Amino acid sequence: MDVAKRMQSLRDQFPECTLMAFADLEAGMVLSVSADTSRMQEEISSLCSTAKAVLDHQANGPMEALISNGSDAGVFEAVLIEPEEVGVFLRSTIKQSDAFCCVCTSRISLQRFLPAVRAALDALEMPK
Amino acid sequence: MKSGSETSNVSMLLSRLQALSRPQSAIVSNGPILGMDDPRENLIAKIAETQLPRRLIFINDRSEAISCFANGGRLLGVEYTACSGENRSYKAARTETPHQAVRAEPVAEALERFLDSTARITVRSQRFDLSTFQNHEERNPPALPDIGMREATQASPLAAFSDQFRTQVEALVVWKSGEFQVLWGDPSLLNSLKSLAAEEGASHDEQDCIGSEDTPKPACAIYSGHPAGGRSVFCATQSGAILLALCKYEKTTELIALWKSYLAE
Repeated sequence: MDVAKRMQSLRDQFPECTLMAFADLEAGMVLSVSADTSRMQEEISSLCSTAKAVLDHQANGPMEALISNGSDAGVFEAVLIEPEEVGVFLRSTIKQSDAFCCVCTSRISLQRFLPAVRAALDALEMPK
Repeated sequence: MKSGSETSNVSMLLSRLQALSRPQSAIVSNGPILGMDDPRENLIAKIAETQLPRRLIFINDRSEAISCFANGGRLLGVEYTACSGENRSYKAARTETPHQAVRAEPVAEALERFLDSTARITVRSQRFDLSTFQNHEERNPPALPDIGMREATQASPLAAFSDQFRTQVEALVVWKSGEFQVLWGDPSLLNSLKSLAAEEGASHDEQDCIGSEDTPKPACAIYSGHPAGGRSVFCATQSGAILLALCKYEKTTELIALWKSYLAE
């Protein structure tokens, strides 16, 4: 299943997810988008900038010292909770420049959504 | 020959005297556990049975500590670390029995907080120099009432909310206006959390000064490390206060659920 189909499948499973994008953090580019309505390019680009900002925390800073498990340093997941929206950003554990960026309504069940997005991202990166 | 034997005895005596005169050397490193059937009474009993000058350090399962300076079965003073991280001390009146001293305000209030929801208290005992303690007390008059008043006037809603996190997290801090209102958890993790809070606080201050409307800070953000064995930092902001909590990755969604219920209140 390609990335577009995986994102559509996740959005079908979680209709509270209104926008999902697959981004290359190193290039700072969104490679694929799945959304409930058509979105402005600026919105898509801004989502990628937010993903870079929240997932690329300063190396060797206090954040990294606190959350690292030893061998794998850095932020792999960030969730931003605002009154109306929830932003979810996941970095691949296999190819660390790849990330999913999601915008959801506040009704999303993160307990179910986060593992599902992580599984989809990992499946995408698995060698075929 | 005789003088040689005397020399040996004198040096042994001197060595023992030197050992005895060391004021702060710990004599118990890992202390016994205080009986929890009636912790307040057991704490008073521990003070009453202490005849030599001893600093009894009571540590609860949140790593909070209260030191009771005791001598001749009497409580001389109490020292504890306030939420701000500052050490505060209280000197008991000479006429007070341990019962009276422990039940007198503001010690009673500090003990109330210390004993609240505590399942286990360990006790450490250290020698202390009586004269040093008395001089120290003269220089630093009782300050516990100040702390109590300051908490009552400035404690943020986030500080109150942070109580709900304590069973789920390893460490947490609440920072507001340049000082820590809550410092709780594993001391080895608190320093990094404090640095992060100061960093976040500085960025908030800067933002307030600029008055930037187009890049508002989110009310709540959670940053997680690797799903296998990493940790999460929960960061919430409200009315200038910042709550930072550190938990295992698996606990992240539980913290989010608590935050959502807090928002819904």
